[in-house]
Amino acid sequence: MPRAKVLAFINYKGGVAKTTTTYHVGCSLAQHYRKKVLLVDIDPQTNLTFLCAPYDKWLDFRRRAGTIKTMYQRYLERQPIDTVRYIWKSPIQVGKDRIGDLDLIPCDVDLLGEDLGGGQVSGTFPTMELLRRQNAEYLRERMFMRKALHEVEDKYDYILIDCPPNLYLMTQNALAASKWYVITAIPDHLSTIGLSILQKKVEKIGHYLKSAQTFAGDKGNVKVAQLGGVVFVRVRIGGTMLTNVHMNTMESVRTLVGASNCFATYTTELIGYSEAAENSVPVWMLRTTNCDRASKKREYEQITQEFQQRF
Amino acid sequence: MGKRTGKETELKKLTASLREFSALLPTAADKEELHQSITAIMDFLSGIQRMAAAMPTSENTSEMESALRALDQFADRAKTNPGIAALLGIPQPRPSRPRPATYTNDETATAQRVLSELQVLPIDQMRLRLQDENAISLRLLQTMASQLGIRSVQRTGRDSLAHQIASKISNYRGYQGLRAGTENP
Repeated sequence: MPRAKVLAFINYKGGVAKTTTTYHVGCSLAQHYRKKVLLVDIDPQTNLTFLCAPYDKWLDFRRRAGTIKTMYQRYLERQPIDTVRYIWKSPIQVGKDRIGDLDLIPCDVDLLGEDLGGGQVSGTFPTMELLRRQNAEYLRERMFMRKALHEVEDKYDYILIDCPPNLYLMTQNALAASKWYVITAIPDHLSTIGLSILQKKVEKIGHYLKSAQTFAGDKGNVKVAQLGGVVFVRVRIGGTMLTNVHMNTMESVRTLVGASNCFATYTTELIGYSEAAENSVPVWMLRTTNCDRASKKREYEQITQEFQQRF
Repeated sequence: MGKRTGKETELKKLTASLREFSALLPTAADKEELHQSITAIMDFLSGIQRMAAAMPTSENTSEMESALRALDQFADRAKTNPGIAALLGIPQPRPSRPRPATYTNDETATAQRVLSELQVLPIDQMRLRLQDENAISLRLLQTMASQLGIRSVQRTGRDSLAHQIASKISNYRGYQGLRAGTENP
């Protein structure tokens, strides 16, 4: 029985191919390496979900089963989560081809707002009991994902969580549920600045969780994810070493976060990825000129190969 | 007295001019430099002599012509062999893109009618109908794809076209639904 390796794909910066990377790595693990994969979409933009299935199918699944939002509501209402009910089996399909070993917990546009978190401190005098309850609630709000995934982690080799571009409640949940976090980044100046901030913030989230655990008198072992690696995406490789800003920035980042923390493999900017996304399939499953061109480069297959060596 | 004085003067002139002459004589270093210059001139002339000897004569043209013929053949082969073309530095012609197909008014009208019929179907039924060769010909499928702005329809297979058309319609319904807020169960 496999015990899943849980990873969160994060970056509070938007447009850095978090979802595309989570999706393609997940699909490649399932299709090329025969791994059992669960994708978890916790971004209210619901993009990972729409990469897996068209709108109609999502609507249908949401009506029948619900989404991560339903799971979260049940958790808040202290009902059993029953995660397996919300798992969408093999949603990716082109004609008769289906990715059999890849499942999805879909997201919901209505998760927007829930993501900010509740548990606000009231104006009541902070007695020790109140402090304990507040910290217990703080901790509980961030343990939803960990609890939900614990129910199904014996069914998968990998569980990949696609996080929203922020570090709010749902991302904190993902970090508390994961063993590693992977940062996707475009190798430009602004992303480089963001990387250092991001690592510090994740550490801080870990400290807060530990403090909350202490104050709440909780005896569990709360750990926040460790940096698993930085994957460079949408790299522009034209020009010489002198003029190629992306190549230079990649080198700077390697120095900044340590070469061993950066994936050697990366993706380039290719129109095929957008075309495949519009059709809810990985780039190698759609037979169009642009997708064929992108697919021939086997970028995500190489990243996935490295991914397995690391995790 | 006068004659003597004259001879003395001439002698003085002679010695002065001899001194001048001796002062003008080259030094050993000057002689060496002169020698080197003459050698360089001789080398240059020998080079020209060698080149003149190596110049092809009218008797050599047959060999040259056969070499030219071989080069011509090589260039002809480069037209069909990209490897040889690359060796010769001949730029490769880009593969010509097929011209976008033109569809008749009737074909376009039919495609639009079928598309509007599909728009009300659930996605699975839509896919089934699009994949059914008896219900929708490849030409009609291509016309429909073209109407939806899908590119390179002539080079795309039936399954892929069917998938893209179904996804386009479903996504469009999604945009409309989300915008109108009718997606709520």
